[in-house]
Amino acid sequence: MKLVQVATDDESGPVGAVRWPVERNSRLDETTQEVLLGNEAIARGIVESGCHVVTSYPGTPSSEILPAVVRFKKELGLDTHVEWSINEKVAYEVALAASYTGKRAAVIMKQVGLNVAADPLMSSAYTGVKGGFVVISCDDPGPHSSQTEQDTRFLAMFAKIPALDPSSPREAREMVKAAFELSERHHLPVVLRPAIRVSHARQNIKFKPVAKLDRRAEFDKDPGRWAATPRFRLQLHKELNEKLDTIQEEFETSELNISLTGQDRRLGVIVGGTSYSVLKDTLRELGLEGRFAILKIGTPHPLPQKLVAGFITGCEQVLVLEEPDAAIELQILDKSKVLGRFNGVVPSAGELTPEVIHQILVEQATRLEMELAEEIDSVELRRLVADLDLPVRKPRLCPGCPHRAAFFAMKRALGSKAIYPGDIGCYTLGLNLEAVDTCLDMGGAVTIAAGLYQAYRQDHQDVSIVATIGDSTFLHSGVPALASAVYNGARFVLLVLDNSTTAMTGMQPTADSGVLADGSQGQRVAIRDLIAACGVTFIEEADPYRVGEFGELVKRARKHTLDPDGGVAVVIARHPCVLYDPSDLQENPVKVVVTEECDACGYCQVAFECPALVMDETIGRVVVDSRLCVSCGVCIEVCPKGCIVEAKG
Amino acid sequence: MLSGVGGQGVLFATKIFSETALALGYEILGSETHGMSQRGGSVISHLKIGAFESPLVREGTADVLLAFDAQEAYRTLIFVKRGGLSFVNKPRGASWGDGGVRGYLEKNQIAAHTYAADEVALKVGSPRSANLALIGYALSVPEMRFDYEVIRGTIERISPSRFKAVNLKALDAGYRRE
Repeated sequence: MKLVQVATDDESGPVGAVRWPVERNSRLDETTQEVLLGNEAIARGIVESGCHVVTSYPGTPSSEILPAVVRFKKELGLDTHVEWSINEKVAYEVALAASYTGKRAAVIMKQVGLNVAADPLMSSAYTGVKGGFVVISCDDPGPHSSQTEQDTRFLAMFAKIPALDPSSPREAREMVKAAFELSERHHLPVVLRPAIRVSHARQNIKFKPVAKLDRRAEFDKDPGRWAATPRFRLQLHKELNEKLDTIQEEFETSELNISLTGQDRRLGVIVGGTSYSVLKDTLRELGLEGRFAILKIGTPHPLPQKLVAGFITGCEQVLVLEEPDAAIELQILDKSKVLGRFNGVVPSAGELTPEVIHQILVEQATRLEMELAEEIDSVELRRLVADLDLPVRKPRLCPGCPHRAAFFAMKRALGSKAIYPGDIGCYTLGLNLEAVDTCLDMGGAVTIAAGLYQAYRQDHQDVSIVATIGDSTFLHSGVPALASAVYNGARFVLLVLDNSTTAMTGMQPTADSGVLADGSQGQRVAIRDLIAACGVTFIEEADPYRVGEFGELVKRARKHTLDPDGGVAVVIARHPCVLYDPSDLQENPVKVVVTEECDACGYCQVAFECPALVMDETIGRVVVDSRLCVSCGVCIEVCPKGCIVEAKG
Repeated sequence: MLSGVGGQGVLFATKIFSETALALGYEILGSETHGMSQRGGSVISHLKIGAFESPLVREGTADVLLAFDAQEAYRTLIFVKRGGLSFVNKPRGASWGDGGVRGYLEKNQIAAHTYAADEVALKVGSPRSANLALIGYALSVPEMRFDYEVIRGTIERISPSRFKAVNLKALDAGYRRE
């Protein structure tokens, strides 16, 4: 129990004895609690709210919410309907319909997923809802794992619906409950916007009892609402505006907003979401705790204008900290005292990390001639470490990844002149192999391929185009794209990289597997059948591990795109993700070695880029890192000089 | 702070400390890497024990750094506060803290302990348990304010059954500074 005893410890250690922050520890009582991921805390909030229907499409940083709902549903023996829908629009509408019947429903996605669901988002703001309906959209300031740093709060403003913004996993759990109640009070969808540092933070959380809501599905026919034509829509728009005014009034006194007093009137801080947590810790570390008044906004839309204006009146200047964009700052009516993104005090892109917020606070405190706690100066270390020229560890496809094999075969078959539109998933990392030339959005490989074909065809130019898309992404939005391409006479090769799972986001099942969100078996929707139904006449399947045969197949597919009777050619590369299903590797391992003839030409390093093939500078050839190698044996076909061979014995 | 590369068990190591602190009645906050950044890249895990609000450790404020990879150790050393502790896994005989870095450590009274955790783990027959060997070593250093027996108990409790024995073996070997 050393950790508990050090509060009064001495500093007798040789160099730099550690002083834990024990003086600030508060001992907790004995209630059941667990260290939960923020996303699991949100799931707990959904379950504790008595929610009946939960739908989602996976995407970082939101993916762990639905699996945690499944966990609690099973542990508690609940009858909650959970589903991985085929995309976010579908997920949104399925949950929305449950709300039409008076039940509580939640839909979960990442921020760019809400773009896909923007159509029902906008419309359902007008129609309103019946049972509580919560839209959980996780933001990714950074961005760490997304194509944009967009701010979900702007989409809530755009749709004219309320948004709540938690600052910690614990608060997120409580805000889920507040969101359901708000939604039911005003018959509106409510957005909960956790940022990545809430979703992927871990915190100890006490479990609370689960609300038992006895609600039978009851759909009241009301065509003026649920099937409103434009004439009725004007009325609904007016209703929506009235609801928003009422909610804004409610937010003026809501407990979701917190006001903390400060000793120094010269600066106040208006802050939302995770920036609040960072601000609190950083002020304490700088010795500025309690110095500035703080207004924490948990209800960024509609902004409680009177509360904010009153706060600003009490300060000479007000710093606004929020991310990823300026949703609060934009709504502040009188910006004359505001320091924020619009005057460059706060950076307009990137995450507001503790380091960034620290720098902003130090600049402000220095300007106000305040004394700061002395801290380590790490500028020198940054320079020293930069001088070490450490290798950059960029994300790479895993050893044994079937996508690598498919990309290699594809590139070897069609070369560098072909254009390779890519898509969203692990296989975006085909970039490293120069096998991905574009990455736009979900399904973008197919549409970009079609558009490129039409642009070149107009000039009577032939160009080889091979689009790559994963199985889950193809089902998400590749199907309508393919149907449209075939219909409009586009010609290109489409490689569907079918690894049997949604790998990037944590192995969620796909409709092609038929496995449901709770692990039970449902009805399979076969990708091959969908491709055939889109009118594609060339559909072939092959295992990309057989690099030679696979390359030949890609060449045949390319020929089909040139044939007078040809068209779009689809090749399904079928091999399970090695993390998801390593059984094949365990049953048939192919141990490889690099022979002494290897002349370190580096071809395998560039064209194949397997983390297990390492250039050993000291012996001047490539070696196999046995800690990383999964014995897939694919690299045997890669070395043009035959220096990678199966190990004997 | 805990740092390393994918596959080194950085997140499991974090769990050992967070579960221990939780059992002792402390508040826990932490943050870890997910998604695209998890595919073979650097893994950094922040853990704060006590009454904090943000899950992120700011540069220059960490009490302890456990670095399971020597190169990542250089990158994450910047998190360690003046007078802090760092533990670095590096091959026996290899140097660490070259040139100016050593001077920085001395100037800022940062204790840098290095230990050949990979070799020790290999010796006890479980190359993947190097994380446990480094933790064991760290616990043998008096300034590391975690109790060896308590941590051992946590590892016994949370290890998947097939790894329990090797995990404990690696921890013990590290603790004995083998």
